[in-house]
Amino acid sequence: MNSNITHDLAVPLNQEDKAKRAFVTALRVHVLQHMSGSMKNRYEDYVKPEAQKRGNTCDTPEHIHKALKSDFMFKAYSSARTCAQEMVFDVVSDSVDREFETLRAKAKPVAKKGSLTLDDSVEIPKSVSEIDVHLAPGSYHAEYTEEDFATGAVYDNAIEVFSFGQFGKDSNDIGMTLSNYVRLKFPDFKPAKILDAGCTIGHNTLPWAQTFPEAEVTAIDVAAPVLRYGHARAESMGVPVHFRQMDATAMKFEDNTFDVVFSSMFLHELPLKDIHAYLKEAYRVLKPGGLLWQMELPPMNQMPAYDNFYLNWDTYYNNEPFYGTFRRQDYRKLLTDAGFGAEEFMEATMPRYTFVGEEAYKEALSGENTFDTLTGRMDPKGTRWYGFGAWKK
Amino acid sequence: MRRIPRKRRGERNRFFQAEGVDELLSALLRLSAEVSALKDRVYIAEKVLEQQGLNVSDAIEAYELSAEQEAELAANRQRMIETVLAQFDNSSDVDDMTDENSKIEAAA
Repeated sequence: MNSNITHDLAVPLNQEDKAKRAFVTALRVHVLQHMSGSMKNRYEDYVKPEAQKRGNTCDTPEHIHKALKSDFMFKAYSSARTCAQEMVFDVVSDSVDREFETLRAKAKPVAKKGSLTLDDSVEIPKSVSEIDVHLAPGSYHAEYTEEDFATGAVYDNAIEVFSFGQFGKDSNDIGMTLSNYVRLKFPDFKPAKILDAGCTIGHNTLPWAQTFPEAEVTAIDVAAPVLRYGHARAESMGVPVHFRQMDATAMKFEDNTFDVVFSSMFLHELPLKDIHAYLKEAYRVLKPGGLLWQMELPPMNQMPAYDNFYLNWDTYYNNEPFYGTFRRQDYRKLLTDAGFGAEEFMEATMPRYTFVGEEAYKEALSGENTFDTLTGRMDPKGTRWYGFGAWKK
Repeated sequence: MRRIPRKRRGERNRFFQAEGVDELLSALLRLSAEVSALKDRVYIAEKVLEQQGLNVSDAIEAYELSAEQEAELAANRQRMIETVLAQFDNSSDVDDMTDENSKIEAAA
């Protein structure tokens, strides 16, 4: 399997790496498509009718989880999916470890278009430090040597194998989709300063600098290794981004600084109190007339019960304990609690920009939002991203 | 050299009641006997060729697969996954695939 990673920090892969990555990729596709399909059929044909006979209405994801938990197909799917998830990190860690010294030289860029500002006084939240998020051993903040960047490299490689190409070239599709939504939907809006909160390696930050080349783009995260790697990665691609180590729930920016505050796949990893704190901070640092725009998992109140059960698997079994609570929230209320006007709320489901191209994307944006089995789900058949946000008046 | 840990904190997910089933599946997927045997075989084949003055290791590393060969390998990979996971799946697609294999075997 050849990599979609095109920048200078791409890990040199030998034949064994390629073969193992190809195997894990194929395994994940099999589990998420074939086995999940079998599990759903089993649920519809046998588990649901039997559960209903016993008085389980199967009308909530929790009820469906309860009904399926003892069924063989659920166990087989979940056990295989857990293993495939572990194998993602195992195979990429082998190559990152082996190539560490080669990468080290590249992880300190000379020519600088952007910048890197670390702050060792930033406290790592327990939601990052205390659990191996996504079953990634040691989570993403850990440093095993001086000026370490290894978890950044692991993350970059892992999301590629994990997503079986669904995140696009250099895993940038979410950023491309969400930034181009703003460009096409609001052609008169010309953001001068853009912030990406919880950026990890900046794979979805860079598209903002590419979509709005006049804007100054800043990206923050609490974890130093992913920022070091993200900075070097951005420099190698010639994209100017200012990476700063900062907690999104207690930002050090002045009030009214940014025209856009963006995040992707960030809120669902936070405890609810941190979601509230972050959104309040986002409101504070946004200029009046600025836009909050978050790529996230679709809310439970928009999706069918079985799809909610399916999406929420990760909250129970993939070390993402806050995921279910987040999805249960009324997203509009989350924003009004942070200071945004209820009438300013907006949401969208979007096809993947880099996959469908500008014209088809533009056309899709004029249609209604679609909430179905492809919305927010990592499926080999395709994916539709979900975004929500609000203007600050 | 290993810097990045491979062990995860906390209890591993367990789905099957009977002890060892989850671990067995994990072992099956990670170290399938077929892969191990194939690797040993390729290794030995390289050593035999080396003894005969043919160093194929570098040529193997440098080899670029064509799109057609990639597709062939992808199909083999898929077949292997379905074979290894056959006992963990009860869907009709597996039966369809078995039928396809029987047809191919019959034709051969």
